[in-house]
Amino acid sequence: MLRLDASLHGLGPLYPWLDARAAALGVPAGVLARLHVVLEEVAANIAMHGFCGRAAGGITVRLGRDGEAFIAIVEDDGIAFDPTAAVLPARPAQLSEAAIGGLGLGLIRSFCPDAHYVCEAGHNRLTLRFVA
Amino acid sequence: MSITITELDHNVTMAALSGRIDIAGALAIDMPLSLIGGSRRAVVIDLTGVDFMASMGLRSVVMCAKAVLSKGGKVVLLSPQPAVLEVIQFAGIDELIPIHTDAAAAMAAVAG
Repeated sequence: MLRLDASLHGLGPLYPWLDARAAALGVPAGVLARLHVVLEEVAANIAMHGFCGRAAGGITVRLGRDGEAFIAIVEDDGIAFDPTAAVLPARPAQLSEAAIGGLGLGLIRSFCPDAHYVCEAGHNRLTLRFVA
Repeated sequence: MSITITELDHNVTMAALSGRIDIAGALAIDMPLSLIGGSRRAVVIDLTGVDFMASMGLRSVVMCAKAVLSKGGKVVLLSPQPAVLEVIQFAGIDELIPIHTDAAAAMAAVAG
């Protein structure tokens, strides 16, 4: 398990931990590439929005294997937010209309369609399932 | 992560990014790309050397492109690696910013 400070500058340890854990579990390169993108998006969302107006918090990340699937679980005690249900910004027709935010949620859903979020007693848990 | 900015003929600016544009990388490229967006009208953003980029980095690229376009300028992307191209495509940015795989064609597309 990895514990990160929920700030943009606190997420650096995510990548080497992910590489080492993925190597231990035998995660294929294609899945690992998606794990990097999705976990960065999820952790960055929590770091940027999860603790607004609150005392600084932490994020925990776990990665395991279930047969042919790889399961990442991200947990935090920040503001409840379901990235699997939040409304995505409309896809812009022109660059001038492109929203600067909102790209990350679309990437999470595109790269990991099998995601499940629960919030219990102020504790957020996002379970992300990847199949090679 | 590094960014190399080269001024070419016909007032074309080449911004070559390389390495991992993770969160730390995105924070590092944000200011140089903002400066280019605010001051240049013909920009090639060379992604050849980028082996990772997610939405934080893409956001900096899009903001730079929007700034160039708002002045009537042109911007293109050059040669993203497959993993980076996949992120660009899933975000729908490939429909908004032209992508070239040939440097000469990319420069010609923004020049003049």
